[in-house]
Amino acid sequence: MMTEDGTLLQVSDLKKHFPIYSQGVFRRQAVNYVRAVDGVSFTIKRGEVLGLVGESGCGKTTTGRVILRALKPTGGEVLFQDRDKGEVDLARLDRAELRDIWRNIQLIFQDPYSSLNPRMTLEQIVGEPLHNYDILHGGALHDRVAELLRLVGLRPEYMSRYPHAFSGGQRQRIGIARALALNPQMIICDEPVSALDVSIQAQILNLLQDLQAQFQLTYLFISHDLSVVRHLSDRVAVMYVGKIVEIADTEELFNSIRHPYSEALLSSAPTPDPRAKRKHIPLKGEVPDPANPPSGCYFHPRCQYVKDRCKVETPPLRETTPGHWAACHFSEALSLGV
Amino acid sequence: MQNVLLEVKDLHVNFFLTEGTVRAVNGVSFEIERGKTLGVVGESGCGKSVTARAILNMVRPPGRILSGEINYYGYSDAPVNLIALDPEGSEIRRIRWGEIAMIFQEPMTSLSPVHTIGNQMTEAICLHLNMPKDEALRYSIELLERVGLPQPGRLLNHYRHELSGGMRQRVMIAMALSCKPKLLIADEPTTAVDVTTQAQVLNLMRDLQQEFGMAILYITHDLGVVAEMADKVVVMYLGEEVEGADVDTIYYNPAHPYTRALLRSIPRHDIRLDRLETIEGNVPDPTNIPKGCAFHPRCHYYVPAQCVHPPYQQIGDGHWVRCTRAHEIGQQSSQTEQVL
Amino acid sequence: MDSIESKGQPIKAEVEGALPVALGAGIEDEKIAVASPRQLMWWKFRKHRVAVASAVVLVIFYLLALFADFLTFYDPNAYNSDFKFVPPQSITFIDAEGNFSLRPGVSGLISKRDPETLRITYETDPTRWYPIHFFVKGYSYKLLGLIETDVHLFGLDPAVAEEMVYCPLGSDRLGRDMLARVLHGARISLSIGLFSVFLSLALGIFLGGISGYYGGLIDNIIQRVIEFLRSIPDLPLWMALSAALPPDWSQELRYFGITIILSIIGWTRLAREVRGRFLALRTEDFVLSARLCGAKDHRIILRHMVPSFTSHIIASLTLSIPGIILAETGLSFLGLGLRQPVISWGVLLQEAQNIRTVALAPWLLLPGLAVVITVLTFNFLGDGLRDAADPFNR
Repeated sequence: MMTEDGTLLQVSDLKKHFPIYSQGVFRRQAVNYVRAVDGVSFTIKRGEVLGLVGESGCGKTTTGRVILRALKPTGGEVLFQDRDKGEVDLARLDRAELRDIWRNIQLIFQDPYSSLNPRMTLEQIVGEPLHNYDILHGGALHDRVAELLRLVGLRPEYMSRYPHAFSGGQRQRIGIARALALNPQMIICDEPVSALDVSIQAQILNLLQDLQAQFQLTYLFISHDLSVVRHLSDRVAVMYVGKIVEIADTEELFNSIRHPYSEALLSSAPTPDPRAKRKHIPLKGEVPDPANPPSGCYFHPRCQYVKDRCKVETPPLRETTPGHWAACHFSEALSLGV
Repeated sequence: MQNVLLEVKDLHVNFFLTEGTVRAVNGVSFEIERGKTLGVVGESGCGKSVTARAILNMVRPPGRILSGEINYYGYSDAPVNLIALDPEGSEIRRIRWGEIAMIFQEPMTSLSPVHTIGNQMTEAICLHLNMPKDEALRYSIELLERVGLPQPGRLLNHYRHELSGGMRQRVMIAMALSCKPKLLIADEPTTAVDVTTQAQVLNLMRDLQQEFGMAILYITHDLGVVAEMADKVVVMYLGEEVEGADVDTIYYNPAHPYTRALLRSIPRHDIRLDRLETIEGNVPDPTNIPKGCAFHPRCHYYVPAQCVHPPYQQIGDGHWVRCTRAHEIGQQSSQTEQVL
Repeated sequence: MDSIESKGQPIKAEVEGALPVALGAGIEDEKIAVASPRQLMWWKFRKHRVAVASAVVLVIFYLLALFADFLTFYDPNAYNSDFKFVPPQSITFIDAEGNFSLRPGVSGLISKRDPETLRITYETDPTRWYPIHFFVKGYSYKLLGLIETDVHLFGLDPAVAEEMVYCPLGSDRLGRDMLARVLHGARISLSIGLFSVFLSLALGIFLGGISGYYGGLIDNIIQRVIEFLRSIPDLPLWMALSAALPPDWSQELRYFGITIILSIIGWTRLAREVRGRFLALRTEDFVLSARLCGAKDHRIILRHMVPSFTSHIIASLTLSIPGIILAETGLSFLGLGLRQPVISWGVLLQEAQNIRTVALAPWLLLPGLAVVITVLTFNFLGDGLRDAADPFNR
């Protein structure tokens, strides 16, 4: 795919298959695989926000976890331009090497409740990376944590409190402060606002935007919510059953859709405008089981434009117009849009 | 009053907890018209679900309905006050199933794990419609077909865990429709499902509403869904209504600072926004609701002297607002811009 | 796979979601905000009145057992053929002359033999009165096993030992003081529960931890072994094992033998629990986040995982003590556990095995009452601890 200068992360043919075991008495045997991530390729430039959007079970969260190496990939390559080490393939690192990489790639979790250890104070939580990497101690650590808390809009006086004293939005700020502690190059945001109330979502989205500008951060922004993705991302990738079906610059993608699934997704999203007259493209049936995906194009059983070719031939992700990639045989022939 | 199906008058529901008393619903009044959809919007803890439960007299301890009236005009012109009925009595039971049906956010909990879908459906139908078993079975299949489930005959032999979230919600809708209710209360029915499934369920509900002519009380936090579904909207904040009007007014001419801020704080997939406006602070703890106007600590328009606890007053045709400064704010906005 | 994906709001019902975090936020905000989890647990535990009361009762029981020789006057194994089956004696403040006395005392006893049953019965004789003295000298013992002394909290004047006894809980068929025997029995019965549970804990944490942390084949083998052990009926297994203990073992060895036998089943439950917690915690977001923050394995286990389940383990330990106490009592009652002259509640209950004895000397069942109270209080305490173990309601 694209490999211009300024690429920070290049993911090629990334795969993550989870085995399904048959249950024996002592030995388990894999009888099938859930193809959670099935050949995903994309690049992220320095300072860019790439939105990764899809419905539950499409593999977007797994993609994030595999890039971060919280999970070991089944195959593929993840080239990362590390600040300290130069180009490294994250997919091939061992545990000790990964520890160094995590100084430069961090994660913001979806659930602000389970991602903070309830038995630690804010100072211990936010200071954990600084402590573990032996960067700061004592008073210096205290000052840095205070600085980080101010940065995310929390009062430093809260440092000795435990997470249970905070609301969901405040906890998410704590998680963000922790992710920022080591000055990472890239942050993977895994549905960071989907567990929050409407009025709190905006605060967190704005905070993420501000921090990105201030520290030239690169985000992989994972979400099921098209509006959130559109708001924050420079480019958007749409995932369906473990594959990327479309990827393009945000405005390009939202204005000239090239894949029937993206079209259905966009048409399904409710618009907060009672006067909006929008085309509804109801999808038939259910998302296929990633352990037994359909033949050919995975979307063909639900696609209203399906042709015979779609049932046998898997469409590759190809560049239909410059910078706009879609995995549909008939991208150019169809006139899609909402 | 001809068209009113259900009228909620000055409803108060408290939850008595060891940590203190939560005024979950604090003087809420609204009307639902026959065949129309009323959307109730609010964030978590605003009391919208409790209101829905209070309508069916289903508030359980530590919650208690303190006062208010819920008048149901479905039988005749003489209203029945649902709150006055015995919550376990036969009349409310008949109403709960036959007149007012309810579907919930998580259909998983409303379906029994140990009985097949068919068993549960036919049993309920036999019981409430006095149908013989084979007829009930045929009717179940018809209903499942109507809500767009494929192969309904086979589906009857499935258990709840074998269905996807969207399918479960359809089963719930099918069961809710079996007695052709005059009012369907939908409490966040699509919050746990994906957007494409949500679109399917919303389409289905709209179609069924046309077909059966039932009214819908749609409870959600999602301003997009409300815009698509509702004819009228009530916005709630901390147990109170802050604004109520027809859907167009709410979105194009909102008068309450909370409604305005909420609308400007949501990201959009249909237009590009540079920056979201935010509502400062957090939703206050419901045991400790701010004095005076409950929204004042987060309000841009707060003026200490003016914002004592405001009444819920009418400022336009069917447009009600709980804000003492609504008139000024409304003028400001009509001069400057439409909100979006 | 994408884990829990809820949209918008947390899936919890609205009312629950609206509940204040932990214990009444808003009332003592700052105090609660900075309260450590341990404090929160304590606050939550404190609300559980029955559990607190049970904890107090248990502490008293253990203290009584610890100071058994100081608190009682008679050697629990000393025979007294003159005073068999003495019923519990009450104290009186009226002396032999019928005057009120500040010092408590006991009236004399007249023994009579029932002409039909040939049983000895006792009647009080108010004309004789023996004052109870405090800090009297009696048989010598080592207080807490350290300090050699012969002072006892209360007792009769050693000079009248020949003509009178004072047994607050009566005496048994050999004239041994029941109070002394119950309190000394508590030492064994209460300690065997603790030791056995700690042995189970050591085994359980070690094997459960290995099972949960490494998984795979080791996990499989350990799980199958546990399943096998759990499928054997407890009582026959214990009986077989204790019958297999060499009869020439000393009392101490036998005690440890029984402890080990009781832990053989006990550890399986704990190992399962520990393994379950490990497996659940491994997938918790905060454990992943600790890894991403550069925490090494030992820090993740010791700083993040173990503190998250110790409270649960303590609660389930507490709940498994009664089972062991009951098991020891049962075994000893059947004569398969501990034997005379070792005193445990089970051994004491052996004395109450026949109906005649129970009918004529119901006070011999007092060790049974002690067992019931102990088991109940451990259960209540365990319930309270379990409820308090997770003070963060979400």
